[in-house]
Amino acid sequence: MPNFDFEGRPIPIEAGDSIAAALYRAGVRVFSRSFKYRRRRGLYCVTGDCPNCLMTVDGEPAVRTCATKARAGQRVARRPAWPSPDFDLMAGIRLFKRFLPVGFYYKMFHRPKGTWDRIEGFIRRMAGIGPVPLDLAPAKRERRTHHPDLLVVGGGATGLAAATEAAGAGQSVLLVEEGTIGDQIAAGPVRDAVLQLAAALRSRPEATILEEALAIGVYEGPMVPVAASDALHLVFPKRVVVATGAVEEHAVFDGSDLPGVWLGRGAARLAGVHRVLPGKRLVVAAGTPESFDHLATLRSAGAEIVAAVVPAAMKDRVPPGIRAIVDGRVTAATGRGAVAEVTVEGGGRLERLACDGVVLSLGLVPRASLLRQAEGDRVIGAGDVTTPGAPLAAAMAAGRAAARGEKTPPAPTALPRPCQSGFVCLCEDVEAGDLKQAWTEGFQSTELLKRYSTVTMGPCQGSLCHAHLRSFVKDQGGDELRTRPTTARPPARPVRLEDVAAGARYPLEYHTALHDRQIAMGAVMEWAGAWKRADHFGDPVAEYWAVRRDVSVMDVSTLGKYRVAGPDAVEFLERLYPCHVANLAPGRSRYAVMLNEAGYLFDDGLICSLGPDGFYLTLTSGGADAAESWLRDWAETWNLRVQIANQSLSLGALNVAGPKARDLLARLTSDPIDGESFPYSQHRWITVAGVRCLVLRVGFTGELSYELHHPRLEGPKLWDALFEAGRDLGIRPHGLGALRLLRLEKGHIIVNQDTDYDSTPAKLGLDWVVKLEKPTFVGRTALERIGQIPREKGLLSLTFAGPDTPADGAQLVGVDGTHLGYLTSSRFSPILGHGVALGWVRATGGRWPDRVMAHDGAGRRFEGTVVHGPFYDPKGDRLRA
Amino acid sequence: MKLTRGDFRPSYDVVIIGGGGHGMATAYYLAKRFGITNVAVLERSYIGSGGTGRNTTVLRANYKTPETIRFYQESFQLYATLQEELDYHMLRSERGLFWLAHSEPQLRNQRERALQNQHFGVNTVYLDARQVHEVCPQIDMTGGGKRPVLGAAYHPPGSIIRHDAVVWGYAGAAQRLGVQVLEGIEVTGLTIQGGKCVGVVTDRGPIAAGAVLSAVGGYVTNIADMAGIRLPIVSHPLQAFVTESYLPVLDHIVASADLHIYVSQSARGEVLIGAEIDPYSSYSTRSTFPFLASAAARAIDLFPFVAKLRVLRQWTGICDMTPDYSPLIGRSEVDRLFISSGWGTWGFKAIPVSGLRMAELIATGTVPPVLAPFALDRFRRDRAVPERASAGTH
Repeated sequence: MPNFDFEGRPIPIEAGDSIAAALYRAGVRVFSRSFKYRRRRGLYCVTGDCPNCLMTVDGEPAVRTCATKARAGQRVARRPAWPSPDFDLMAGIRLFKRFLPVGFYYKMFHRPKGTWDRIEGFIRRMAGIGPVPLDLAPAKRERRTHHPDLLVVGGGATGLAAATEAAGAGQSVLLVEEGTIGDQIAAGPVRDAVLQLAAALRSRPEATILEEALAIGVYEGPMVPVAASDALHLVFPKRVVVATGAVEEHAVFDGSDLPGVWLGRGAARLAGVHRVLPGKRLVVAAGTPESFDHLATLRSAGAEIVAAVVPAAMKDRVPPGIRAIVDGRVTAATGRGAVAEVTVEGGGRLERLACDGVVLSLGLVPRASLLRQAEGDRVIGAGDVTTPGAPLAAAMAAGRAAARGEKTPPAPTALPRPCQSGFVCLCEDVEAGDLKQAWTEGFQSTELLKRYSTVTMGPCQGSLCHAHLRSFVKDQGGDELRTRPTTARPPARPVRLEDVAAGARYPLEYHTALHDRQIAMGAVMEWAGAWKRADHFGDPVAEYWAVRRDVSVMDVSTLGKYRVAGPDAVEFLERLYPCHVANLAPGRSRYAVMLNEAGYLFDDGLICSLGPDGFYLTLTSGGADAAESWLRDWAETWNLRVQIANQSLSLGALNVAGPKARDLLARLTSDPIDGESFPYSQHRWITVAGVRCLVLRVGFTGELSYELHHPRLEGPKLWDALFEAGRDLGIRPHGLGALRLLRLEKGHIIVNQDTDYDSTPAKLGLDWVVKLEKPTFVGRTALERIGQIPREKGLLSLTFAGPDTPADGAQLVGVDGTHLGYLTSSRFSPILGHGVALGWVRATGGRWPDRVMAHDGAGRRFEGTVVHGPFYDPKGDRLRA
Repeated sequence: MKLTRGDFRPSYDVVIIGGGGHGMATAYYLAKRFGITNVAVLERSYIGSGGTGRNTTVLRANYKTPETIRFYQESFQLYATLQEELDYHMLRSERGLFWLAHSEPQLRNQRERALQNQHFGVNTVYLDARQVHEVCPQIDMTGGGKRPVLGAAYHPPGSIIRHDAVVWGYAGAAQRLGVQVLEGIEVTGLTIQGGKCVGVVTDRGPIAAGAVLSAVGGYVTNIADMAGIRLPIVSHPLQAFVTESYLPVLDHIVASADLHIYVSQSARGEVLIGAEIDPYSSYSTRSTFPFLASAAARAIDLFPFVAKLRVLRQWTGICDMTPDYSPLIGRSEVDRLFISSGWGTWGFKAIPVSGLRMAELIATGTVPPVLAPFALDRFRRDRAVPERASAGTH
């Protein structure tokens, strides 16, 4: 016989067993220890709703063993306890109950100071329903989407009826069932009917059935994610029928949490489905019509029914030969570690009945979490979830009606009888007395009681205790506001992180067309936004010198690249940029910044006039995506006739920089590229190595540079040609590391590194890019106003003697020690032989400092000098060459 | 603590709109430090039902501008003795807070933050990857094989504290001093006469007031509308989720600036995971699945073992975001109408200092120096307090 391992002991498995059923058959009675008092807890609901049977299965904690199939070779264990879960010494803690009242942690441990520090570790080790598996690898699952006409949640008779109805009307239907259809129903006509319905449904092309599939929640749309063992299914149905059924009303009385206290459906399931007897001598509290079926099931399985406690209206249903206690109520269960006796109150007297189990069918509470999350979406509940305990035929009729979009009016459900004593919340060990205590302390609503006592906040998320909480508040005189249900939040049942994360596309990782080429040349890649870019190719210093002395190529394909055309293109760009655009002659380019309405800079790049073909804009790599909505929003706002094309991903770009850049290009093109026909700050269409490129003469590195913008897929061809042709020129690629230094020597900013939220061009020393004489542009009003206000801070250029230079982020203080700001970029300049830096500096008393002290944490201090203009080649002779 | 109930009086010296942490703390300090006890706190739902009860309970002072560092340092110090002051235990627990960098720009940002913090006496150190691993070996230094951890700013005083307890502690203490806390009462209008706010209109009738404070967080623009004031605030949802309770495995609070995620484990053993604000503006507190899926994926990248843990609940709060990610607090254009807002994702940690200094402003009429940088008119004056780089996720 197959078996699984339970704490070192083999447990035989019979066909159809859940883990819990097999354990119970093997004699296990204590399934867990409770959260706070470590009380013994046994099987109770057997429907996956309560926390009692949570165990660690194959290393995974908090698995509901009553709803998990037993499989050979499984390793199953309870949460560790000392010396064992069957005999847990910590259980003695409840003897100190009067020192641990509800909310005790808010009243204790804060004095004398330091008490909590000592006790916190102990409390933390007490917490938790299981150990965290540190060695299990996350599962990789995919994500699928479905767009059925109808989604049915729940594979019981109601759900199957709904799905059949819709499929019959030619609609596409997806039915999801948490377990396996029919598995939880004892053999008999109902099971036969359900299996028959399911078989018929399976044969229909319109219907799909997912089993072992948990509907996580109902989100806006409606959208219902479903976690299954194979994949995460995202379901976007037109309509949803929720047929998740009902839970037996949780019993709250003295000793109601003892092993041997059963909810009716659970006891019947154990006996009827798994052929395991929940007790030999049972007291049955039969308060619902169906409970007499349970009674019959238990009896025919061989249990002796000591007595049936029934309401007067149902007394005739008690089968002959069974003692009926009419209008009685079970008020207590006692026993050492398990039920040995129950107290029944009836007819004004108390009676104690010896038994080894008590089975309670006190009422049914809708399992309505999904329905309550739906908030007016096209979601209809049917069957037990709206009318608990409805006869089978009525439930199926409601299911069929729901499939047609018709709501069956829900039956008014009564709240349970207000609890007097006993455990209201099994997950968190909250007793009726705790609620009373909290109420007298002023926590007088469902929401406050929940947060103060943690009732409803455990793994069952209130499926057992939420109704009791409301009943308690109402009984205390709470008005509607105070009694209202707490917010239903997803997930409907606890769900693994790996299940919800399945197929989530994160992080995005963009590669340029030259990614592999660069890797092959030894590139060390780094993350730059969503892109992977080369930081260096092994020797950043050599790369730097290649640009300064010879020639070097950098992949700058990540730049934002836009085409703007149309009759209003000039007008559009004039309004968008603070610089002039109309006077930009075809073939010329201009450095330009983008400002927001507050006058603050958020991007920069070039504007290139293509004459009749409009304009070509470049933007920073980081701003490429955001620019699209920025451009389109304004075009629409101003209602201008422009076309905007985002070419950031379709075009690649290579920057060929260095004094020998022209020599190199000349070898690959027959187009004129001499300094006279193609000067600095202009662009030309040039064919390089057979690839037609828009070539921009740019100056970010401070050397003679050509930026070759080309169709993305031509990138590798161009790259290879450049390196082949430049071999004797000392060509090598350079990465971001060299670029950061090259541009810093020129004093060029990097947006977001050297700029902050409130950087106006003036604060950055870029006044010249703003033409306030223009009648209008985005940010103009703000800049005019800000211009009237004395400037308090600015991005200044600083030099340090070197060879040691302060680190990025070094703090700046004045000679008198006042804090002035910090360095945004700081490097040693090999060509200048001293440190160069940019930093934000505050003016004190309207004066800008000439000298500052920088310190970078390691006790190092550096004296810096404020300078003006670029550090390297201030006149720009080299880039104009 | 005991919360009391009672009917409201026709007139108060101060009416505070919003029974969250900020409103309750202001009421407490008005009574305790300035002797103003004829104060009502009006809450339309239950106390602490807004941002105070929905945030992820992190206390820290590692900000990025001198103004904010000073402000949060004072708050952090007030929090340190708050339990004794209010005679209420809030389970404050020092855990140490990481801010991980997985990219060169974030590395620079975190290094700069550490240096700046140190300059102002805040304990933040820069750790390289090896040191991060030594202090918190649970972190997957490869970032799920995708985003290797390059370094971090580490703020050892970073703490967590039970959020509800903060509001209950203040509420109880304020009530003992005579403040009235009224639940289930909604402000529908402000009574303004001659440019001066003299009371509020509620769904249960008008209430006169010598001064009115809006402390309603994400919904502040609705209150400002009642006075005809436009605030530079856009409200965004912010989501989080929590797992079932497990034996302790993670002592630290770990945030990642590049993954936009942060993870901590509560004293009860629940693993708490939060992220950045949703990109759209909304007052909806309905949670979304894309958030859950993406935040879970990112959390697994940092801590692979959370994959098998189970999500118990997800929820959403509303954040009043300012353009510079700093608070917006002080006098308004309307005399005797005060506004405490712009709390975005950084409001919980500011509760004591905002309460104390707002109480001082209301009581004395003088703007306390620590509040001055956060005045409502600062944008007009080009005096933003840029904290985008540090406010990040929480």
